[in-house]
Amino acid sequence: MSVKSNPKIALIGNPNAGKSSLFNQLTGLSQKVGNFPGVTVEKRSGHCRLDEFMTAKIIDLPGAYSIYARCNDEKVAVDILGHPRHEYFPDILVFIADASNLNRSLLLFTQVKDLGVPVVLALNMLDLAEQAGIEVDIAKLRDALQVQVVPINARTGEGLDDLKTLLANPVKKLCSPLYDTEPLAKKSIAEVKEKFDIQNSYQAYQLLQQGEASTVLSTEEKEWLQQLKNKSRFRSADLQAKETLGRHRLIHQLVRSVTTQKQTGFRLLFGKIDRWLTHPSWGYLFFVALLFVLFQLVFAIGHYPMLRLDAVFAWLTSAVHDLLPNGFINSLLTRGILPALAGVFVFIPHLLVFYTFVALLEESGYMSRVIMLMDKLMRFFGLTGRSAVPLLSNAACGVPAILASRECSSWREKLSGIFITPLVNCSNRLPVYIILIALFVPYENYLGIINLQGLVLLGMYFFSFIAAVLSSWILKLLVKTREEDYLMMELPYFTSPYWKDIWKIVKDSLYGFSLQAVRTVIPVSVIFWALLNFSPTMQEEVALVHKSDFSFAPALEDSLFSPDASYARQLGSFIEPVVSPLGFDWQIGLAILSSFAAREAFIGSMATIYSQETNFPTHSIIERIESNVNPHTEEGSYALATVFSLLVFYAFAMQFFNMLGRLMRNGSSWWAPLLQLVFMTGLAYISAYIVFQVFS
Amino acid sequence: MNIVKARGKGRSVADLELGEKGIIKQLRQNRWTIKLLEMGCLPGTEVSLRFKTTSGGPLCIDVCGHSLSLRTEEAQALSLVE
Repeated sequence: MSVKSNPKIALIGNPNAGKSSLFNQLTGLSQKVGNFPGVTVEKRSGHCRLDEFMTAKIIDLPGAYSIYARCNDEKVAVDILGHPRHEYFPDILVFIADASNLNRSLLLFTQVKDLGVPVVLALNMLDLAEQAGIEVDIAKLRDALQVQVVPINARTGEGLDDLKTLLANPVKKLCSPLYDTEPLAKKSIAEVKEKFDIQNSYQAYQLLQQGEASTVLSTEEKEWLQQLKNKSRFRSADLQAKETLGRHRLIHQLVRSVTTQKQTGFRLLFGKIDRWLTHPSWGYLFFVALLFVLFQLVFAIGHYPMLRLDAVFAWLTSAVHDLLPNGFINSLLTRGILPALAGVFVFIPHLLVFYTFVALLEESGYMSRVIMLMDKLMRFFGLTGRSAVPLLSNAACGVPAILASRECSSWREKLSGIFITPLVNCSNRLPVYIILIALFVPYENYLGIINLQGLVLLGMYFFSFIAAVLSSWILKLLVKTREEDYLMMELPYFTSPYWKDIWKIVKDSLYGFSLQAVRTVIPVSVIFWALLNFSPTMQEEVALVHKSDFSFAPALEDSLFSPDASYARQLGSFIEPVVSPLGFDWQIGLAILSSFAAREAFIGSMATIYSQETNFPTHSIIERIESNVNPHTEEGSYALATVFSLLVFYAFAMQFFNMLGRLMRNGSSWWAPLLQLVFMTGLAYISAYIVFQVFS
Repeated sequence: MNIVKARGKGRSVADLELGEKGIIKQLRQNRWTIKLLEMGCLPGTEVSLRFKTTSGGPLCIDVCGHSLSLRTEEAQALSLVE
């Protein structure tokens, strides 16, 4: 068979079979993250050099247990693999199977194989199988499945060279289906084959089963399929059950013939601990204790490296200040852009600790226990256990995390997702909280080890959580819908963390956050610098300065940094009466305005605003903010009340522009986000007001 | 076929005691049937209860070589051989 010089290769397999590890191993640094066309399902792709002549394009398909899709994620796989004319239809499919559980892995495998996609079986986790006393006869497996089998270790990269060689030199042979679906609906399959001009029976059968969800077929073709199904009484659910049972029977026989099970003294690590982790009282206690320790460590470990980074930025700022001649550029850099960047980047140590812990929790399998633990409680409020996880999960942000949830969910859950998400403490929000808290809450220790910042973060977490749960409950009372969801999921055994994968997740999260922050913070700081340094009357002053001798340059600087007449001050005095009941001064009020664009923007604008005085002895962003935000340090409670009020405001205030864009793409009407904005801002204002009044 | 419309009279997986083993007799037809089959809950398969959370809350069974967490309602769809 002739091979294209740049073959398209897709990866598929069960969740937890090691698909992401293999993808990382194959593509290395060339990864790209996007969306599959038409759906909000994340598409990861990259390039892999197979040999000196060939580079393959690798696409990572979402993990699934079978070809029958129940959510957008799974639909992508059947949509692509069921239609050879789909733009992402692979030249070769790599199926990653968990050798320690072939029975489960092979269900999806036999389905994709029968679809006629050229497939290679990568047998992963042989070490785990060996521990459990399972021995797999690879030659027998190859003959039984009529497919190339490569033993690999996706974590260490063992066997990858063999896999690449095989992918570069594929052997294609026609073979009979492993499980023949033709007897299930003989006549309809024949009609579909003729109409769509396809040879493969299972492909035809799948068009009957799931053709209506396809993005490739035209409406007319879908109607034709529907009519055929009605005419021939094609009962999808019954046939699916029959097929699944039939395939399982076949697989069980096959697995028995290719594996030998030995008795071993193998015992599961922490087999008993699950009982405690999901215990109705100990389980919650452990979860809270874990969060407490995690948040404490974020600030305890992050604090000292942060001070170092702050010193570096201060040094850099004063160096730039001394190096460049006085003027606009100097001022823009040292009082606008650099302080704003410092405001975000000095907190990288905190975020590094935070992301590492979250990745550890996810990779260890603890998150699944939290889902189980929370399920009953969350269902009372109209959510499922899964909704508890996006709070901590690494998923980009709450909106896509819930709308296109990794695990399937009912449309009602998605609907409440739209309205509840702004209230939920999504992962994008926690890092911003961490920065806000590190900036504004003083670093104080109680009893020597418990730091105030960690406590405040824990408080914020629960505050947002309760707000989310309550609003979901209200929604449940308002919207009556039939529940269609299910919890059923595989509970992964606890595994020791694999640092390479952890580091990859942490790196991606940090990079993603920094990129987003830089994109928002720089333009915001430039705008704020301009607002602070220009005034309606300034044109005349500058003109005056230009007319006169150049030795008047200091005069220019003076006019630049007397912000009393600036646009910012005028805008601020307009806002001040609105925000002063919340304990905010005009500077905070202005910064809050900017944060409607994105949460990170607030940090940038605060840093810019407080970097304006020329005579300030230091360029350290931490010291500047401390001395400015807490001007009433003698009445410490007043300052803290302002900080709490600010944080609570943040728990509710939404990032309008971000949200709007996402909702538009998800096909909502224009008024829904607008309604959301009014509602959320109102809620934010009222609760911040209450908090400030209580604490001051 | 071992998929039935009505609910069986006997015990279901939801009634298992901690650590107890049982064999699945049949599945009650409902919206979870296919998903249960896909996850290895087939008639004739041995299951054992690993742990329960609260009563009426999710439980975890060992089936087909892996651990599966189910809600009580989902587990009730799996009736056991007496």
